[in-house]
Amino acid sequence: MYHFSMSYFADAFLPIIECMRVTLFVTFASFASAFVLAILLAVIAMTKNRVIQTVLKVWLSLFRGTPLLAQLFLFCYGIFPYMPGINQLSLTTQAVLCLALSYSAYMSETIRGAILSVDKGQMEACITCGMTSIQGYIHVVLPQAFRLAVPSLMNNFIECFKGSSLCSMVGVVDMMLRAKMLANKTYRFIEVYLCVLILYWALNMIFVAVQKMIEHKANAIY
Amino acid sequence: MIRYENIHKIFGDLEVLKGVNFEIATGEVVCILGPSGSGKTTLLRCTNYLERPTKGAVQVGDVKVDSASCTKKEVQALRKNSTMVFQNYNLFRNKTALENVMAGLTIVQKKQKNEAKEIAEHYLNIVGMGERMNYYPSQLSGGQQQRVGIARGLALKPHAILFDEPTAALDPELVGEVLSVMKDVARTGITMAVVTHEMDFAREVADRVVFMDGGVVVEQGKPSDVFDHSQNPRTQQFLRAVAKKE
Repeated sequence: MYHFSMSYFADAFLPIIECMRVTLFVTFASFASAFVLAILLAVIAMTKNRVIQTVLKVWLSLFRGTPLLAQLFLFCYGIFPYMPGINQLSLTTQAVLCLALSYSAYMSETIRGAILSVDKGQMEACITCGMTSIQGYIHVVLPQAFRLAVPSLMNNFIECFKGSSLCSMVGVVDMMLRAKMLANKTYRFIEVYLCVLILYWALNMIFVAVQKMIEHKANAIY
Repeated sequence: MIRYENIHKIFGDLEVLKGVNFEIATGEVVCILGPSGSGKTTLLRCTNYLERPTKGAVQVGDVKVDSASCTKKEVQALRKNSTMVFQNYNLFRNKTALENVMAGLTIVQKKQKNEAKEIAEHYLNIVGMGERMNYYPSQLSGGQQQRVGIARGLALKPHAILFDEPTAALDPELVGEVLSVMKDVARTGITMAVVTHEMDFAREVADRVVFMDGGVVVEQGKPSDVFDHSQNPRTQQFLRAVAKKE
C-alpha cells in the first residue's frame, strides 16, 4: 500500500510555484502573439485570391491536423536552430513562437467566424461614409467581431494555458518540467504530480473567473 | 448632380438593370418608384459602387466612373461624393449616436475631434436627436436610428445623399418622424435620390419622379404629371395597385 506523504506533498509547492512565472509567460506571450497572427490570418482569409486561399488552407490544416507536441519537436529541434535570427532566441521564446503558430491556426477560425457574423450592412455603411475597407475593419467590423469572439477566445486562452505544459518536453523549465524533475529525484510521483495538478487547476479557476468578468463587461457595453 | 449612362447590371443569369439613362440635377430631389424587382435599389447601390455596374458610367458631382475602366482611386473618390441612408439603418452598433456621426468626419475627413463633435452635435440637433446622442443604436427606436442615419449622411456634407427605402423597415407610427426630417433635408437644397414606396412623400417633396420597371426607366416627370396623367400602362397599373393597398 502506498503511503501518501503530506510533507513531500507540501514541500513540492514552493519549487513548482517558482516556475509558475515561466508557465504564465509562455501562456500570455503565446496567446498574445497568436491573437495578432490570427487576426492577420483571418483578414487574409477574407481575400478572394485563389492562390492565397489555398496556401492558407494548407497552412491551417497542417497546424490543426497534427499534434502540438510533434510541431514543438520539429520546430524547436529541426527548424528554428537553422533559421538565422530565430536561432539566437532563447529556447522559451522559440517554444512560444511555435505555440503561437499553432494556436493562431485555431484562433483565426474563431475570428473569421466572428467577422463573418457581423452584419454585412456595417461594412456597407462604412464604405458609403467614404471609408476604405481597411478603415471599416479597424473601426467598425473588428471591434464588433471581437465582442462576438470573446467567449471562444477565452476558451482558446485556456487551451493555450494547458498546452503550455507541452513546452516542458523540449526543455523549457516550466511548472510541469519542474514537477517532473522533482518526481524523478524523490520518486514521490503522486505527491508531486498532484501538487502540480492542483496548481494548474487553481490558476485555471482564476482565469475562468476573469473570463466571466470580461464576458459580462463585453456584453454590457452596447 | 448624378448621371447614369447606360447602366447595366447582371447577377449571374439575371439582368437586373438593362441600360438606365437619366440625370439628377444639382439640388434636385428625385424619387425613384417602381415595383419590387424593378432594379431601383440596385441602381442606387451602383451610384456608390456598393454594386459595380456590369456596364455603363456613373457620375456624382465632379467624379465620373466608367465600369469598363475604373481604378480603386476613382471609386473611392466617387464614394466620397455621396452618402447613403439604408433601409435597415446600418448604424455602427459599436458606436453611440454621436460617434456614428463623428466617424466619417474623423476617419475620412481627418477632422479634429472637437470640430467633428461640434458638427455632429449640430446635425443631430437638426434631426431632433440632440437629447439622445450618447445612446447606442440598440437603445434607440427604428425611427430614431434612422434619423441618426440621416444626420450621419448629412454631416459629411456630400454632394448628394441617397435614400434606400428609408422608411420601409419602420413601424407605421414611426414613418412620419423620418419623412418629416427628410422633407427638411430636401429644403436645404442638397441633391437627393430617394428610392421609396411612400407615394404621398414623392408627390409632395419630389421635384421629379422616375418610374422604373424591368430594369429600365419607363416614365419620368413632375409628380403631378406621373401620378395623375400617366401615359404609361405599366405605371398606371402600379399606381392603381398601390392606391388599392392604401
